[in-house]
Amino acid sequence: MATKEGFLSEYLGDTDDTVLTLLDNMIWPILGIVILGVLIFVPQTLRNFRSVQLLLWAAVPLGLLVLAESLCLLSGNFDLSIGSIAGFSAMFTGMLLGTCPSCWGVISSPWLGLAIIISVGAIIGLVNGVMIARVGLNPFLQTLAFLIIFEGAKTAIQTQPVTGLPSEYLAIGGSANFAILILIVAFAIFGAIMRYTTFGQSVYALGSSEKSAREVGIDTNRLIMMIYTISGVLSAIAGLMLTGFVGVVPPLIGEGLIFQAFAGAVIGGISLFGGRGLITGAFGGVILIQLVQSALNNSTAVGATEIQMINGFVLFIAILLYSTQSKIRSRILASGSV
Amino acid sequence: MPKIDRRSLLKATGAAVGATALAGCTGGSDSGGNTLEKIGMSAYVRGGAWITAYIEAAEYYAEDLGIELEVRPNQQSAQKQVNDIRDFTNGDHDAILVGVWSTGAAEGAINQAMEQGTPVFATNADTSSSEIPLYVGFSNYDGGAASADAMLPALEQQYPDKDTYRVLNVRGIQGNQSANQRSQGFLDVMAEHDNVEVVQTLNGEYARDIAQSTVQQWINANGVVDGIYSGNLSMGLGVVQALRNEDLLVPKGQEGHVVLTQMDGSPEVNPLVGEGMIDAAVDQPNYFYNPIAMYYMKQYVEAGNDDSVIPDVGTEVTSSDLNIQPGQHKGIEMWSEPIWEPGIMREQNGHPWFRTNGIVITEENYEQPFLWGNVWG
Repeated sequence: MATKEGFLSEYLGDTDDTVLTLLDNMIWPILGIVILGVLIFVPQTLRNFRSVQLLLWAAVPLGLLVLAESLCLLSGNFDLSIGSIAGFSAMFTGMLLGTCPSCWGVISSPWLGLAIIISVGAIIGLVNGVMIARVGLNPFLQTLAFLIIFEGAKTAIQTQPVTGLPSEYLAIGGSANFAILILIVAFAIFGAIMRYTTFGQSVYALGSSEKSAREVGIDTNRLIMMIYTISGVLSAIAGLMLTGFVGVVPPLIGEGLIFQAFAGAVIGGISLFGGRGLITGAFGGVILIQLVQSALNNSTAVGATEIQMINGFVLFIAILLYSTQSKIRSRILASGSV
Repeated sequence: MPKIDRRSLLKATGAAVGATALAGCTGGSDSGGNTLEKIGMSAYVRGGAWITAYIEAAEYYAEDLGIELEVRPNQQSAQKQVNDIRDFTNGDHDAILVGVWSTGAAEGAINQAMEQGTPVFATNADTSSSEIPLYVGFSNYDGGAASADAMLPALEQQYPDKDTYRVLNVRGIQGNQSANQRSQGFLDVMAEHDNVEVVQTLNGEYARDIAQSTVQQWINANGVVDGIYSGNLSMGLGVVQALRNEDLLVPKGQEGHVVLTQMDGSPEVNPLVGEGMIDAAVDQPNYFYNPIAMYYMKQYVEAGNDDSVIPDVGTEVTSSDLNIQPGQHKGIEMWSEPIWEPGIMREQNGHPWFRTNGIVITEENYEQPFLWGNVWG
């Protein structure tokens, strides 16, 4: 028979479990509150199904980059080059496929183009991984170098919009429903992988402690290379989606997205220090960023010159909440009731 | 007695120092006298066909004049630009062309170059330095105003029964001087008309994808407007794609046409003007900026850094005063049509500003070879 003390302890343990689960999924109540606020103050932002569709469609490239960054962050690493990989792979493939006067125009098959863009992203990602895992370069320095190299390489091969791309190639990112489906499927697949597979658990283990992960038999070097390769592939798909969304490859494609990708991951509860966070939370972070941006654009009360500042405040509040969450979590775990 | 200002004094000193240095020095490209043989150019080189036309025209004109032109990209960094200007000054360059990245940032380096006798001419984007002999460029404010002027009759023609028109203003990067001026020029003209309501100014950030997603979401949320003005070509094309996605892109004259005006033509914009999708685009004579600057730069250097060769502020310059010799480039006779005229000499930031004229691209002229967008594809 359970004693009164035992019952209380069990009850409190359950409560702590609930609190920890809530903390892990804190993005959703935050998102709920923001949606409520938007519905009250800028209701036209979510006036119909098309509004939601447009909002999600615009979020697709950023969402894929957030997913790429989240994987790297969960493993205790990070990738500054995701925007550059997206831009370069899109530009390189666009030059091969395009029919503009300055394009190379050497292939015409959209499917071959698809294979090339993904391969380019994978190769760059793999090189990132090899340099970090095998050569031992610092992830910050390695990915910073690739950010600069591939942003420059994009300019070196073309400074004008790449046009004349095959319609099938553009349709992938240019069709709202299909693009959104890709984003949701990508998050669902990686959410499941991270939760239910050995690979996912190894990533969390690596992010928590590389030494411990190695001691339990995880080939951490191979894992890091895999993570960066996946990050490269996801970035390349983001480039493909951007290309389809715009209908051409603009010369500055992919630039300036890295900070938003970090913000999306962090707002979604992915730890900057590795080992903690949920992929579903990162998805919530993407939606939150896009929703706030859309609401601010639609609001007549907020001037165009004030939008960036308010965006910054939203990020700041999210970081404060994240920090509070970390402290509560530490306190609960330190109490030893779970 | 003629007034001697600080600028003239510095120029005279610079010329004297330069002459003294040349007299005692056997090196350098202009050891034979005041000749313009080598120019260093620092500019933004990324971002599309517009900037390619601006840079390549400089290279072609320099080639025609037999001048060596070294172009260095500023890499979107004021610091890099300052470094390059100092490097040009320290090297064997006779003069410097600069498209300033950040208005105030390069002032010290430019003043230093001027003091050391290496003249600096600015094009496209001005410097805050009062020492330079000349800045050549378009008026962004006037461009925004011209876009508003082009939108007004188009609105009346498209919607003759309406009493008031609702329009959107899609502007460029916050804090960017040209974005502010282009937006303000448009807003000021529209503010003078009671029958036009600028319902919202949206941030397009000079980017096609951002303008596209922002405008299509705004229209879906707030309803269709009668007209949209975009502050550059990328944003204008983003707006076109946004309307296309919302099934709202129809040619002018047809029911539901949204009147579109914007800054800049381009290889993509000009055909859309021809199809009636875009009503008007206010274009810049970008491929004339550097040739005009080099024309005066040559005279200035050959006259011993004498700024009397620069037309006086307040005067109007036409092709009878300034003849940019046409040359065969990219399959056309480049610079044969002086679309920059009349140039108006103004003062800006304490130095002369050769304000070039703009040209409004319409269905009547969209195919003309003098539009840069029809040459640089």
